[in-house]
This record gives sequence, structure tokens and C-alpha cells, in this order.
Amino acid sequence: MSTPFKTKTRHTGRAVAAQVLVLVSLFTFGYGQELTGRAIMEQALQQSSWDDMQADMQLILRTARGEKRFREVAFYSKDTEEDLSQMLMRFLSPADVKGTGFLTLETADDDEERYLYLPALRRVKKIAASGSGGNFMSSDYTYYDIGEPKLDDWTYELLGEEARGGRVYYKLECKPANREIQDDTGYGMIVRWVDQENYRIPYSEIYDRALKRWKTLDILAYARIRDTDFASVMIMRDLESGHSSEIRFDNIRVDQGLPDDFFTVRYLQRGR
Amino acid sequence: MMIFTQHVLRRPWAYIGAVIVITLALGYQLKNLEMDPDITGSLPERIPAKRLYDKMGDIFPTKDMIFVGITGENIFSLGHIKDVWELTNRIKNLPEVYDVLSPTNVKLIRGTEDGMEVEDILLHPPYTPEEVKLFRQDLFDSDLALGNLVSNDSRMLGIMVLLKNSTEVDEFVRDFIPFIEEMEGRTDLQLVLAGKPIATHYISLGMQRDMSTFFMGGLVLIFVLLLVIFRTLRGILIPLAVVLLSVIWTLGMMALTGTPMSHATEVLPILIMSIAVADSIHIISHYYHNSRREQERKSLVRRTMEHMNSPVIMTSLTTMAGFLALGVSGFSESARLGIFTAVGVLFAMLISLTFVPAMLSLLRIPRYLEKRQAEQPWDSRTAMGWGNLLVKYRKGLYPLAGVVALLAAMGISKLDHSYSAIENFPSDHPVRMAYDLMNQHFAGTTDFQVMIEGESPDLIKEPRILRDMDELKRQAVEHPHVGDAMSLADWVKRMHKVLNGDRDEFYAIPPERSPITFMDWEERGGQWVEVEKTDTVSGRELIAQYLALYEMSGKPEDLANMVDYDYRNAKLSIFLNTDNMTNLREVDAELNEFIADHFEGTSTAVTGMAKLTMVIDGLIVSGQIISVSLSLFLVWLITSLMFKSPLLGFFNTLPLFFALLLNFTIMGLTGIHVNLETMMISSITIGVGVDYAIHFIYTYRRRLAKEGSYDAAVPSTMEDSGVAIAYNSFIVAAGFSIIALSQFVAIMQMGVLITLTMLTSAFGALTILPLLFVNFQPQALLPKNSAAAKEQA
Repeated sequence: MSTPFKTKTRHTGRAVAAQVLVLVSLFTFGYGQELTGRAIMEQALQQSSWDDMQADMQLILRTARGEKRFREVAFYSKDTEEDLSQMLMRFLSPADVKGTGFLTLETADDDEERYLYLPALRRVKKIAASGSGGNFMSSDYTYYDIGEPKLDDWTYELLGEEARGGRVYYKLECKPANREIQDDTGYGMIVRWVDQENYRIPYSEIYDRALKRWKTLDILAYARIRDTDFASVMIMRDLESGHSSEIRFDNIRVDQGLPDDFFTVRYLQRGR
Repeated sequence: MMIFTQHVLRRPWAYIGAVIVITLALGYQLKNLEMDPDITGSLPERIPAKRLYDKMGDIFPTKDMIFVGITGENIFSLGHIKDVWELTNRIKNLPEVYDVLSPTNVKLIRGTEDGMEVEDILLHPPYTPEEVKLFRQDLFDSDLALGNLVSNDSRMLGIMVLLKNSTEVDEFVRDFIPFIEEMEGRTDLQLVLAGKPIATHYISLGMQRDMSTFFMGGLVLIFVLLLVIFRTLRGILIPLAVVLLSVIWTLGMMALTGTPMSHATEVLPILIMSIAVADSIHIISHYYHNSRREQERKSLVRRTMEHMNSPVIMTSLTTMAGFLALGVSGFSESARLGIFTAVGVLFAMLISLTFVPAMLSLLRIPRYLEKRQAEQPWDSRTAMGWGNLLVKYRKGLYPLAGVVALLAAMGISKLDHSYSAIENFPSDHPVRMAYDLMNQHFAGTTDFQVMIEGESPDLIKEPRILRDMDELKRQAVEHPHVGDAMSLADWVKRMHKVLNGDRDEFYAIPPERSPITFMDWEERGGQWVEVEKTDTVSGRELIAQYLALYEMSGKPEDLANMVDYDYRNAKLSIFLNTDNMTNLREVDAELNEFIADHFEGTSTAVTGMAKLTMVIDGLIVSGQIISVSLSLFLVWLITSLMFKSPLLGFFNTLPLFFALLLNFTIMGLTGIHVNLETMMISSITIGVGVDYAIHFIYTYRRRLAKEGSYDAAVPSTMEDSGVAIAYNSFIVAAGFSIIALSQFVAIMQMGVLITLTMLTSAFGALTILPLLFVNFQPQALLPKNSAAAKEQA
């Protein structure tokens, strides 16, 4: 039960358990030490409260020299009963790719299937998934970045508190839990700033495998949907190339009753 | 002018002090002197190909390429491919590198059962021989432009290292060479490096070596000359000081004005040294000559300078004129050399007119007695004998002129112009060997870039534009020296093929409109069924969607070096395995012919290193003609004013004509090309060589007035000036001959030729002028004052 792009939602059993753990440790260690990095992250990554979601999404890619690519897609998502994410995007612009559809289906073995419908060919093409580290729609986001956040993929260390722009944040150092995660994502470390009040993560810094600062992810705006913060404007910047990718969601609607067969190759092929 | 010398003699210390202060000030600047071995950097902005080249750097993320050639016993073996994989990754991780095109990291576009995948050919280093076998198969099936990644015989591999435009190329290469050597040490691979950045680096090293060779060689030679001629402390130290000060001032001035030393200006110090030493030898020998007659220091110096001021100034001015003419050659490399050599000559003149008399006036009268003066020395006798010989066989002028004309006609017709940075290295130099190896086995390291600038975004996705790109590639590679070409068209063709069942007939740019059959789902009686339908699809949309498909699985910058972000501008890279000018011109002409009636709706033009090389070559040829004409004109003008006779001005230029004619004849006959280096010979010859004619005519006129006979004036002039002219030319020629020690072929050739022209222009002055005078007895040589006075009376 989740979609990408969400940051905080209602408590689930797992989160409650974590909080209990927090409470226990409060007694054990005394305040300030008990709130582990992992607990903070768990708090921040909570699950969404809706079944399906659709929105207009804009992807704005900019090069260091200021050249721009602009794409607009209709965005649909819904999780399966098995809690696997399904996502469909239909291009609205630019004109020469209008109608192009893009479907990603999470598989039970933690992988993803990706299909592209090309209206000119009237045909659906499967795109081989080259790991989660591949770039999403040629942007600076990897599929991993936009996919289901996986708490256990990382180990967390609380570096301390830091004030930024008048708010106080937990500064978290997240390291890949194992070698595969590192190879798959291409990330050696992520430093996140978690708001102490609302558990939003407006700033993240991503380091490459050589632990060189590589990208920054800033969340510029949140939409409030059913008491949940939904990151609606975000920008990922590649510090090395100067390239940046901005994603904006508008017209967000939830629980519109999208049928399950909406997220099938057959529906994808129907186009339009 | 004597007023000036008087002033110097009144305050010698003030002048010496001033010279020391200037020397310290300019000498301090030397630390800022920069080296700029990159010839293309100095191309003027007005050249369209240069502007386009810079623009290309703005549009595309990379323009400088280094080629790494990889050899090893059985290159497609497991160990080697592993090493190549590691080498590729390590290069790719260097922060200055934009991208690496390597056999082990090419992007495979592969048709799959129900789609297409884009992925790296190797996701990890191969672990088994089977993987290597598969890798090799994939590589050859990839439809990619592999010309620079796999050698023709598949026994070598190549890596193209694309540098970021922000990279300080020189600094990068300085670290990259040891990096490659270290990699070579860790593996069984032999690695060679080629490409312009590498050549430029070695040019820089060669320049530094040349400059110290020239400088030390020049100093030693001058020291020996002075020792032989004067054998006194002041006779050695004063000219040496003049030489050193002139060089320090000039280089300091270059540093002060931010003018870097370059491949052409590396000869500047030795030129200035040779010219400067000649002046001060003149002054010192006059000083010794007069020392027998003068008993007082200052009057000795005054008397010396009375004779020397005019000739030193005159010859300096004409020399400066010759060099300044290089300043308008249109090519800033040689312009710099011209201007700063002129500045150096000016400095040498100023130092000779101030520092030298000031120093001499502080020293005691020398007890130097020229024993040789007592008898008729052998050199004077020889000179007079030569003069008499010329007078006797005056008709020898005609056969001499005939032989020269015949030789010139033979030689000059064979004269070819070709600029090549690579051929400048001797054939056993590592750069040359790497270059030859790479070009023999791969597509080539010299590139033309066809820049296609569209009028509107997305134009590059038009099938007709891509088809033009593809057709241009097809035609270009028919030229025997074009190894390969690379453009977005290759990618589009490959995708069209793999998305159409991997059928070879689809390895093409999609047509404007084409029919397609496809399966669609239809609801029939409550049932969804698959039915076959047909439709027409536009190639434009097809291409746009292929590219979208590619982008879906690629990185933002994957295609960035072939097409820009909004598909407005594209680039077609064409690789040649030679930088021979004839071949470059052929290919350039073919490209332009094609471009003329294709690529509608774009402004398309050719640039790239090959094109810049051609431009340099063209500038050299036109610059040669302009600067030679201009310097001859300037020399004619100055000497006409000096002698108050246009005809005598013309006589002054004749020995130079002769020397240049002979020079070009030798170049034509020996196959030495006109290039950046050898083009400078003309201006140097004119600037320095004109002095001999001036001296000769000046003296001849005096002697003619005295002797009253054109014939008798010849041996008399020979005895007086002929000896000095011959010595002077030997000294300067000896100085210039140091240039022949250069690392670079063209500069070495220049050194030899310029040494020769010094001798031939002196020979011209000492042979052709007297022959002309005795044959034609021109009136202009007669003293004007007396003639005019007679008429008035």
C-alpha cells in the first residue's frame, strides 16, 4: 500500500512498534540518545492513506547551460493487494511523443517491469530494467529515488541536530546496508535533514560510491492530502554536471477508484 | 644622434643605472611568462571555422579527445578484457573526463522478444572466457561506429577519452601520462596515447627543451666567437651583457603584456641574441680600431659612436621593418614572433647605444694592438681579389642569373605547403610512433566535425536531416583515409532495426511515412480480442518516440555529445587517419559539396581539428605572400628614403630576392614544406639580410665618389665593407644555426634554411650588386650633391 513521492502518513503497525521501542529505550538510555537514526527515518517514511492516486505531473530537465526539456504526463498509481507498486504515465507533451505510455510494475522478487507504449509503432515495448540505479525518464532521479522507500536498505546514524532556515532538523547519515544496495543504487551515502516537528525531509545530499557529494534533493512544496504530506514540488540537482530535474504535481486526486486492469500492458496499448 | 651619445658620456652611471633598473623590473616579470603550445588557440576570431569550433564547445559538452591504443598478446583474452574494463572505469572516474568510449562500456541497443533494451555491454568485468566470447560477439553485432574502439584487424582495442570543456587540458595530460604508465605497469597491456592534447603536451616539452638548448647553445657559441675575435674581458663581457639584457627585456615585455611563448616564438631569444651580438661586435671592433688613434676614454667612445650610431640605427630599423611585416601575417603565432623580435631588436639597439658607450667610457683605454693591421690581412686580400674577379668576369652576371632563374623555376614549382603538428615530431619520437600506430590500425585520430545548426528545436528528429547525416557519413567513409564517422543517425538506425524484429532491411532512417501493421485490442461482443490493423505512421514521430524510448532507459547526457538538449543542433564526427593536407582538402571539399545541397533548414558547416589545421595552413600561405611583399616594400621604402633614391632602394632588395629565391628553390627541391616555421624564414631573411646590401651600397657610393670609377670602386668596397659583411653574416648565421638543434623537424629545417639565407643574402650583396653596378653603372650611385651643385652652377 504505497506510492512513490509520499513522505509521511498515518501510523501503521510497524511504526507503532517502533514507537514502543522508542519509549522503551527512553527509559533505558535517557533522552537524546534513544531516538536512533533508524527510528527517525521510520517516522519520516510512513505509509500513505489512499488506495489510488492520479495527478498531472511536469518534469522539467535543465542543463547547466540553461537548456530545458519539458514533459507533461498524466500520472496514475495504485498498489496491488500484495503491496506492490503500479505506476502508469501517459505523455501529454511534447507533441511528438504525445500518447506515449509508460508502465512500471513492481514484481514480487523486488524487481520492476517497465513497459513503454509507442503510439507511432502502436506497440508496447518492454524496457529491460538495468537495476534501480537507472535514470527515470532520462532525469536525475533514479528509479530507486522515485520508488518505494525501503527502510531496511540503509543503516542510519544520527549525526546531531542542525538548524536550517529557522527550523531544527535531525541530521541523518544513511549508508547502504549491503554491497548490493550500493552497487544497485550507485549511492555510497545519503545525508538527510529530517524536520523535528513534522518529520518532513526537505533536504538530502547524495554521495557517490567514492563518497563524493554527487546530488542534492530539495523538496520545495508539499501538498496536504488526507492529513498526509505529499511532496509535490521537488528538484534533484547533479552537482557534477550541473543538470537538474524538477518534478511538479498538480491537480492531485486520490481514491478515484482506478480499476486494477488500468495497470496492464493491454490497457497501456489502448493508448490515448 | 651625437648629441645623444654626448649625453650618455656625460652621465654614464645614470644610463647604466637605468639599464640595471629596467632589467630588474622586466626580469622580475619573467616569472609570469606563460607557455602556450596550442597552435589552434591563436587562430583569430574572424575565421568562421574557429568561431564554429568555439561554438561547438558551447553547445556540446566536450571537444578535446585523447585516444588510448591498447595492444596485448591475444587482446580478446579474459585477463586483457578485465584490465581494459578496469582501465575504462578508472579513466571514467577521473574528474576531468566527461565520458569514455571504450569497447567495454559501449551502450548496447538490443532487440528483445517484446521490446528493446539499452544497457552497458558489460555490467561487471568478465569472469569467464565464455563471457569474453559473448562480449566480443555483442561488440561486433552492435552496429555501432567501432572504428576507434577496435582496430581493423581486431588485434588492438582503443579508448576515446572525451574531456570536459572546463578541463585544463595541459594540466590533465601532465597527470594522465603517468597514470597511463602506472596502468601499463599493473597489466600486461601496452598502452599508447594519441590525440591533439597529447601532441600539444609534447610540443610544450619540446619547446622548453629547445629553448634551453637554444639559449645555452647561443651563449656558448657567442662566448667562443667573442673569445676568437677579441680575446679581452670587455670584448667578451659587454656583448654578452647586451645579448642577455636584450633577451631579458624582450621576454619580460612579453610577460608584462601577457603574451605567451608559443611554438613559433620559441626561436625568439636566439634570433635576438644573434642580431644583438652582431651590433655590439661591430661597435667593439670599431672601438678597438680607433683605440690606436685616441688617447682619452670619452673621445675614443665618441669617435666610435660617431661612426656607429647611424648604421646601428639604420640596420635596426630595417630589421624591425622586416619583422614587423610578420605582424600583419594574419596568424597571431607568427605575428607575435614578428612584433616581439622587432621589440627585441629595438631593445638591443637602445642598449647598444646607451649601455655599451657608457660602459666603454668608464674603462681604461685598451692596450690592445692589432698586429694584423700592420700587414695586409688575408681577409682583406681575399675580399679585394673577389672584387677584382667580379669586375673581370662581369658578364658572368647573365649566366648566373640564368642558372638561378632555371633552378628557381624547377624548385619553386615543386614547392608544397602543409602544416602538420604531428609530422613536426621526428619519426622515432613516441608521439609520432603512437600517432602512426593508431592511424594505421584505427579509424583515425584527426577529426572533422560537421555542425548542423537547426533553425528550430526538434529539427534534428526530421527523417530527412538524419538521412542527410547518414548519407554524408556513407559518402565520407568512401574516402580511403576516412576511417569512420559517428552521429545520432547511427543510433536511430540501430533502434529502427531492433524495434522491427532485428531485420537488417530496417537498419535505416525511417521514411517520412510508412505503413505499419499492428495488433490492437477490440471489444467484440463483450470480449476483448486482438485484431490486426494497418495504419500509416510518420517517420518524425517514430524517431521522436525511439529517442524517448532510449531516453527512458538512458542517462540525461547519453546522447549529449551528438545532439543538443532540444534537438536543434547536431554534430557528425568524421575520423581520418592522416593529417596530410592534400587529403584533408579532398575530404573537406567533398563534405562541403554535399552540405551545399542538403540539410535544408539548417546552417551546416565543417569545423574540427582537421579544419582548423587547414585554416592554419591557408593562413600561412596567404600570410607568407602578404608578409614577404610587405617587408620587401618596407625595406625598399626605408632604404629609398635613406639613400634618397628609389632605384638604390630597389638595389637593396635584390640580394634579398636572390636569397629568398634560392631558399624556396632549396625547399622545393628537398621537399621541405611551407609551414608555420618555414614561412618565417622570409621575413627574418629580409629583416636581417638587408643590412648587408645597405652596408655595401653605402660604402660603394663613398668609394665611387673617391675612386671615380665603377670598376675601381668594387675591390675598394670589398676591402672596406666586404670583409665586415662577410664576418657579420658568418656570426649571425652561426647564431641561427643553433636553431637546427631543435627537437622539431620544421624548426630544425628552419634553422638550416635561415642559416643558409644569411650566407646567401650576404653573397648576393657581395656578388650581384657589384656585378650589376659594373655592368649598368647606374647614375643614382654618383654623389648627388656634386651633381646638383654642378647643374645649379
